[in-house]
Amino acid sequence: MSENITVYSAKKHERVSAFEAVRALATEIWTHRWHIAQIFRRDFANTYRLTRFGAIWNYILPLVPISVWVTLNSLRLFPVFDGVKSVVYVTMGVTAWFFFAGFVSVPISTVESKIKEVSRSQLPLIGVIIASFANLIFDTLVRFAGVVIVFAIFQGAPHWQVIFAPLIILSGMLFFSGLGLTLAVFNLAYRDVAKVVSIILQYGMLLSSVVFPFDHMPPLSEISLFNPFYVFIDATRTLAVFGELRHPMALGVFSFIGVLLFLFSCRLIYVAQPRLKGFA
Amino acid sequence: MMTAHDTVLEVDGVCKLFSRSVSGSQRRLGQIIRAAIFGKDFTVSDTSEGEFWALKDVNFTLRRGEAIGILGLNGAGKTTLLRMLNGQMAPDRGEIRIAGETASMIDLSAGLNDRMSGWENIYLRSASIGRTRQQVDASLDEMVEFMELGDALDAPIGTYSAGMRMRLAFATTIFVEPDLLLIDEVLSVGDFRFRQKCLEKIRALRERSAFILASHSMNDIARFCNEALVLERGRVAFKGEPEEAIKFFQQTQEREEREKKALAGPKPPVKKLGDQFHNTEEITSVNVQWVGADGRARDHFKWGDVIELRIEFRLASGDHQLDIGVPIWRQDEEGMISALSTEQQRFRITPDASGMCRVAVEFDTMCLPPGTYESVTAIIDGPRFLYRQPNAQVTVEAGGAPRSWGRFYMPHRWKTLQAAEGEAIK
Repeated sequence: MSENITVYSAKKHERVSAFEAVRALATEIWTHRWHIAQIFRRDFANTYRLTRFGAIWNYILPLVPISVWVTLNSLRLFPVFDGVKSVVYVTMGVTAWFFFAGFVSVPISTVESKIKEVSRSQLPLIGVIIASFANLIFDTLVRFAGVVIVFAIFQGAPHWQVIFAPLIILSGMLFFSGLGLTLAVFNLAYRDVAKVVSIILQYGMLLSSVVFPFDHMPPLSEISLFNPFYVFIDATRTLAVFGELRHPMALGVFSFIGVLLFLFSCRLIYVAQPRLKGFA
Repeated sequence: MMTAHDTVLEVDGVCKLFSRSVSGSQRRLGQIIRAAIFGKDFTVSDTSEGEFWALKDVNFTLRRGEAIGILGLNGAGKTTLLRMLNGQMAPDRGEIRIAGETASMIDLSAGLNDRMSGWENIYLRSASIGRTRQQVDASLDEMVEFMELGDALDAPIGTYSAGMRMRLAFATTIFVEPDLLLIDEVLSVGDFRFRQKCLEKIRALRERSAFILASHSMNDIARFCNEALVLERGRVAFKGEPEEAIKFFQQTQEREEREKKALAGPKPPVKKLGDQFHNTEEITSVNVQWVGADGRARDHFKWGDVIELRIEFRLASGDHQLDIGVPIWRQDEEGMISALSTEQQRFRITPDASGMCRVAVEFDTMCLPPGTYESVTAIIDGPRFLYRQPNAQVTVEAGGAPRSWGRFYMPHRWKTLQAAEGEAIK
């Protein structure tokens, strides 16, 4: 018996490093993988339960934002931007935006709404966040299928360097999930955080050249490089279409910050989570 | 460190701080986040304004095969302690060490989803209490047989009755082989037959696990536990034999009740005592007193005390056909609990030469359940009321009261009937 001792202590997580925290969180996620899968299944099923068309809704609903922009494009409201067909520009931008913005907003809303559920179970807080990320990734994969079709029809084959796009996406995931996890913890103590983030994200979509190429319009063109959403979305799009990065320096800086932010957030959530559960 | 091989649980100086307000709670949370960011000490040294210790310096150990009961009034910290033992919240001071696996029945409805079927909820709830898919699959048949829900398992549990939900939740929790089992007020599951099944299952688990039961039910504590502790405002006020702990707890309850009453001030007269009447021309110098074995007037008695109700009054001259009745009520209930009557025992009241009557009714054992009682003395002359006035309240304390399963304990004794060999007992 004595080899399997669990200790609950006020001081248990105090002195862990960021790397230890990442490892510990990964272990927790692995240990609770089945529970996380159950929560994902539950949330997935809740979307279509009691409907006539069933799970089809889980595939239709994520495509709706893309379809709106394609419809607008068919009305010829958008010009061709820098050699990118407007419909491709918009669908790629919207998909990338929902993905990256989701990594910020999903942890905030999940922690706020599920902290009580977590406090009544043995699941760690990171578990429900991962389950919500899994839903976000599912929606994004459905949209991605739409992007592939739109890209193939309107733009043709992507540049071969698109194979490096996952690195950019991964960097973006680290940056935005780090930001989201940190803000989610802060939001429990300072509930204004979620409201402010929601406002910022609504303006952020407009200012990140998701739908319109604001990066070509001074003075927005000058401040766009300070906007991480713009930097990651633009890099993914230009790499896929032209095989080039227009702002490699900004991308490098945000990727580096992203790693630091991710490590910081993992440590914060690991250290604080046993205490956060008590505040449900 | 765990000092003995069979020690399953060590609770060492555990404290938990709560805030009475949301803003206080968020302020403390802000401090925790800042401490987490800067790698500072989490240990809470003292309470701030609006905060209180939900648990303070709780210490105990538990070995395999031992069962400890936790008694306490609402808000004493029982559930908080169990939640910490289950890892659902961290202590603010101290340490909890558990050797082996834990299973908990703290909140049976946790992890259930109304829109999902019974089958889906078996998996969902099992996952929420930390069980693996393999463990659930291994015990699924047994579990389903135990819960006796049949085809209802295909329906969403939103359509279940409360009893059916409890069956499902209980069965998913109980099919485990834990080293430490935590139970919080959930032994009253479903109907009588299902409850017996649950108790049997728990009894079987108790043989091989260490066991903690938090309950208001003193019978459950006495039946399942070999030690009990009484929590009082987050502190361990008593620890010892279950029977002793129960007595201590009952005394605590009485004390709290008295304090509450003292704070609330005197109560207005209660309607149930009925109309008051005093024919001062025919009856005077009425004096009614509850007295103890020493003959002195008292308003507090312990269960089992010798007690006497003394009634004195002076009658105007003339012939009388006197009877005395004393109906008794519990202060917190409407219905009359008992009544004493001279008519019932054909007791004749005879005034002395001066018209003075002195009578008493004796009780060898005060056997009313602990509580506060109100009574009325009614003196009747034939069909006419001469006097009907409330008596002083009397409080019965638990003292050496035996545990009772009903509202009332009837003093009794058991004996073995002897029969000659081969002869049936008549």
